[in-house]
Parts: sequence; C-alpha cells; structure tokens
Amino acid sequence: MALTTTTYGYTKERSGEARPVSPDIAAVEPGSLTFEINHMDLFYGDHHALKDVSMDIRTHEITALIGPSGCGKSTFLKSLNRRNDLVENCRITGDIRFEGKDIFREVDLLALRTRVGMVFQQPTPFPKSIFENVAYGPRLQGISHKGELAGIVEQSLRQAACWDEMKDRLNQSALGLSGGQQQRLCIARTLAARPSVILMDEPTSALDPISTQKIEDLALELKEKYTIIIVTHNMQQAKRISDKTAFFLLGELIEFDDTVKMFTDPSNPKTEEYITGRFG
Amino acid sequence: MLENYEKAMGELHDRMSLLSMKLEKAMEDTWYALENKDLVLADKVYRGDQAINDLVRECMQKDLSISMLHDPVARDWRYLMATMKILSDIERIGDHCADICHYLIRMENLHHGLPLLPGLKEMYGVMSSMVSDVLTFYNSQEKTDVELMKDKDDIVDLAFDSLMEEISRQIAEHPEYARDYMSYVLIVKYVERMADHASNIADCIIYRDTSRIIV
Repeated sequence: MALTTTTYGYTKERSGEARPVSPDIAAVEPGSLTFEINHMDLFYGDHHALKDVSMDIRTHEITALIGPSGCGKSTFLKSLNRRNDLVENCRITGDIRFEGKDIFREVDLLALRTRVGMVFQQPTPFPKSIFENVAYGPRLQGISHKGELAGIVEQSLRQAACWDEMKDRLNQSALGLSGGQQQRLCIARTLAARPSVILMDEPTSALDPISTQKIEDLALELKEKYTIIIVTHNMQQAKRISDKTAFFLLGELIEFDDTVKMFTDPSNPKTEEYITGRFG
Repeated sequence: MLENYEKAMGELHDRMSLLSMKLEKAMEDTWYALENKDLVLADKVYRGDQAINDLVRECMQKDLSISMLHDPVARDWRYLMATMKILSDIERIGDHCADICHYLIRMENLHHGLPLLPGLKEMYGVMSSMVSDVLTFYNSQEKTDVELMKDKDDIVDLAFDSLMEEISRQIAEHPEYARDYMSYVLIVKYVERMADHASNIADCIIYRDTSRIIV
C-alpha cells in the first residue's frame, strides 16, 4: 500500500482546503478491516507524540489501548475520527484508512464522524432533555419527523441498556441522571447517529463499579453490531472485554496482539513489565 | 502494592521449596523402608503425609490469595496456574509414598519374609530421579528437559510391564504368597503413577515457561 504524507492542522482546516467527499461509506462484513493504520506519525509541533504506528483493527472486535499516561493512546484514538484536526500545530503523516479509504483524502469529515462516534472519559450530556440528547444527532442529519425521531431515540436507548430506566422521564433534564446513566445516555446519543465504530476514551474511569460493570456489559453486547476501540488504564477491564490489546509506550506501539496472548504470554518484555505493574 | 505482591510471591516460592524438600525426603524414606523392611520408618512416612498435605493446602491458599488480591498476568499468572496444578501432583506423590508404606506394613505383617522384587529398585530410582529433576526445574526456574523426562517415563512404564509379568509368574509358582504379591502389584502401580505425576509437573513447567499447554 502506497504511503501518503499529509499535514492536517488548525491552519489548513481554517484555510478551507477542500477534501474529496465520500459520504457513502459502505457497510462491511465482520472480520474485515475497519481501520488500517500504516506508519502513522503524529507531531505536536516539535514533539513526536506517535512514532511509526501500524495496526489493523477488525470489524466487530473490541480493541483496548493501554499504556502509561502520556504514551499517546488517547492521541491515537482521537486521530481515528480526526479530532486532532483542530489541535494547533498537530501534524500527522502516514496512512489511516477507514473501511479502505484514506480518512484525510477520501472520506468527508462529517461522514467520518457520523460513522466513527466517540464517548469520552467524563459523561458529556447536553443541558437538554434525555430525548433531545439522543435526538440531537439525527436532527443534525436532517431527520425531523417526530415518529421517526422517537423510534431512533427508543432504539438507541434500548441498545444502550437504558430504555427501561429512562422511558418514563424522556422529557426530564439529562443533567439529573447519575454519572453511570449519563455515560450510557452518551453512548445512546452516539448510537443514534448510526455509527459503525465507537471510540471510548476511558469511559468508566469516573464511574462506580456497578456503573462500570454496566458499561462493560454494554460494550460486549454492542460489539455484535459495532467495532469498539477503548482506551483504558484498567488492566482488568482490558482483559475482561477486549479481543485485541495494543500497548503504547512513549508514543510507540510496543505490542499489539490477541488480549489472551498479551495477558498470558506477551512477546515484548516491556509489555510484561507494564502489565505486571513493575513499571509505569 | 508491588512490594506486597513481590513479598507474597517470594513467600509462596519459599514454601514450595520447603514442600519439595519434604516430598523428596518422604520418597527417600519410603525407599529405605521398602528396601530394609523398616516398619518404624514406614509408619513415620505414613503418618508424615499429613504434614505434606497441610503444606500443600497452605501453598494453595497463598496461590489463590495472590491470584485474587493482585490480579497477576503474564509470567506471574502462568507461574501461579502451574503451581496450583503442580501442588495437586505433589500431593498425590506424597499420598503414594504413604500408600506404599501402608502396603509394606501390611505385607510384612504376614511374616512371609518375601525378598524385594527384582527390578523394583531400578524402577523406583528412575521415578525418583524424575521427581527430583522436575522439582529442581520448578524451584530453580530452569527449563525442563522434556526429552529426558519422556525417556525416563518410558523406562518406568517398561519396568512396570516387566514387574507385572514377574508378579504373575511368582503368584503362579507360589500361590501361598498371593496376598503379598497383591500388595506388590499396588506398590509397583504407585511407583508408576508417581512417574506420571512427575511428567505432569514437567508439563506444567513447560506451560509456566512457554505458555504451551500439553495434555
């Protein structure tokens, strides 16, 4: 595969350089490649934050990104739906392909972010009703029919395992929900946009164990229909829910393998030292 | 946290070393009692099995508590899993020492003064070296010599077949000693099983070192 070198940063984004648009990203079969990352480097100004990262992420798998703070795992995650585009002096080289297409050259940014949703560390409900939180994305996509919106909201809340808790309070403010409920609402909001990939950046780090368990169960259910990439500091969580694990250290992808292999017989001594708690 | 973890792992390792020493002593005493018809020593081995069982239980509890409290992974996880399985095999080898001594006492109480079965010493010696080797491999973190273990296990199996033939012949020639020889059948079988347990321990050490599961 030919490598491309691209520079995407604040300046170029603001300067309005046109990119080819391809909104109709085709659905793909389980086991096929969702993301292909080849020789990706990322710089924040002079700081080389990600170094020659290559990795394939398969459809309907959960991939956990682990590593000590500052190793580049969240930066990598954010690159997958181009959330680094607006970071000043951020420069990415190499090749990132989503369902076979170059995310910088061949995929429209809105289409990319629709298909690659994101859930953040802290729950981020809008100061709106539960219904409006979930309907927000579909409305932006141009859906205005009330019945259709209601159907999407119900389906998304069901998928996020919160319909039974929230069906009788859809018009109440989302800010009144507990932290765990808010996070599941945010997942429902992400699902409402009908993505094929969900990026999760430490989605349970602010939650209690029961809420964490619910999110983990949810992730395992969702992987039947979605590809999930999760950043976590919780080794047990990575073991419990992921199919593949990637270990980052100082911007390098040290090891990427099946989770069982990574946690029973890692190939790289640095991985072993990190996961056994002997450094990091 | 890591300090406590390393300390707990170190304690388990120390107790496993002690258990290995106790087992090797029991095996040595078992042979001495068998060869010299030393019933006092046989009784001591028989009763001493409880101490081995107690130590096995203690090691299992340590292993489980480390697994539960520290969530080990990678090499540590393989070490703890292998150790748990090895403990079962060690406990069985200890039981077989006690079983051999039990049947030795029973045989000698018949007062027939039967000589030691020819070939039993060699069989016991090979089995004993297998157990000794695997315990050394386990405690010193050395790699197991798989081929050597296989060869020795084959020798023990051949010796078992040969001794069974010999016992059948002896029973046919001296039916009046049939009860003594029935005890010998069991003793020879225990020795053969002890070699199997040594092979199982070798397989566990291979898992610990390579993550390869051998069945």
